[in-house]
Amino acid sequence: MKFEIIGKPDFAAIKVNLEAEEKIQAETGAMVSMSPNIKIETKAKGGIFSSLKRVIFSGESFFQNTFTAQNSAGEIMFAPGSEGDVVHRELVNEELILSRGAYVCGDTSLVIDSKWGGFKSFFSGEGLTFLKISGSGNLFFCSFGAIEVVNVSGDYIVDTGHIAAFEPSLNYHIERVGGLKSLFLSGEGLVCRFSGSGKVYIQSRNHNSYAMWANTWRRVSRSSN
Amino acid sequence: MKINISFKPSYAMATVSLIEGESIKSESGAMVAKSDNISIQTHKAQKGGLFKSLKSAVLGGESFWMNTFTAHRGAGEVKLAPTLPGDIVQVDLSNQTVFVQSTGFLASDSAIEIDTKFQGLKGFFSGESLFFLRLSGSGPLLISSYGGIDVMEVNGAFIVDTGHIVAFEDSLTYEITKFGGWKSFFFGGEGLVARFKGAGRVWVQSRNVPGLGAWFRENLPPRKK
Repeated sequence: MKFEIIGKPDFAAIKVNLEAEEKIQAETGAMVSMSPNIKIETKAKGGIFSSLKRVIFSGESFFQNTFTAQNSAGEIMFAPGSEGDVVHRELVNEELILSRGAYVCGDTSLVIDSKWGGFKSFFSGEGLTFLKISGSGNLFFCSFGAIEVVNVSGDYIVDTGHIAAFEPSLNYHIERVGGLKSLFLSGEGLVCRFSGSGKVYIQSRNHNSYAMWANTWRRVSRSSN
Repeated sequence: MKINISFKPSYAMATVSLIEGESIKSESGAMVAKSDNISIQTHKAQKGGLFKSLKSAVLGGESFWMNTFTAHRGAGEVKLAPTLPGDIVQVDLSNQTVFVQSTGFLASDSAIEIDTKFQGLKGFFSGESLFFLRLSGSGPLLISSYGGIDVMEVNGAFIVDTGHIVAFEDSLTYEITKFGGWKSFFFGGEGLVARFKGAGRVWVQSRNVPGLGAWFRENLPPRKK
């Protein structure tokens, strides 16, 4: 398998060259274009329970698509839903935690599971849950906006809407920023306190606040009752 | 205070390094990440009673509350980014006054005064949801644009669509007028323009904020009341 990330950093997409019978797995809707000999198979990976958990807790799709080059080599391109960058990481028998919606595609050997973000995040309305990717293989994930890698050593605080991914060597704790006044009026919502040492991938734009901004422009219609 | 702007020009983010005791004021919701020893204090946009702040929230269009970040027990950093895709530009004020469009304000030195209640810009109540903040004093100011940003050195006269203005120096005089004749005003799609006169700088953005809002308005289903 050979790959290339094109359109970096503003509108990145992943071009993958598969050898005959090679496979790649992707989030539904990520396929842009492909050779005609590539076969798509849609399944609920890891069984129904695991898939349901993924939908409920991580906002990912129930189904995942697996693409296989049949008989000969083929080319396929994937792109994330929002504008921004794509990061490649090769996992070697390790884990990486991704934020909701950051997964784009990767080797079929990788296991995708949801990770509970804690009660605070569940009730925050931010629906903060993470995806845990584990195993060995190539992983591609996306950011809304640009991506910056911060090597955390000690304590570091990141707005939950700006996290793209982080290494599991870091401890994390969801908390409010500042005092009570800041919780309601600062516009910052919840933050994630990382401690220990490891990498955090920060995205330079926040999809939650962008969506909320767009929402303020919607027309208002009177409900019928 | 040291300011480093990365990911120019599409998804710019500002990293502000503060030494002990230094602080910076930012638009609410702009924090991406911060060191643990940076405190956040949520306060009203300008000094004065509740009524003044309310007035500024309504008239200024900008969030009612702002956050001041201060470094304690040593140096630290805070990363700031606007909601919309686009650039960030640092403008160093030295005992002068600039007008900044409400969505174009990202952060400023805590020594710079922010006035939202001045009466000078009545002409900007144009129905385009654009309002201006008056900033005066000395120190760094960060302005953000939707799209790219260009600085025009006006000497004489210059015309800018109101939705494309990010900021301008108060050495310029201006007049808000409709563009062309009545026919152009209603059917030409240009709305209102500012006619600047004199000598000074105008920062212009390559996309129009109410233009994006109107696009969302058209493409999103109406909200139920």
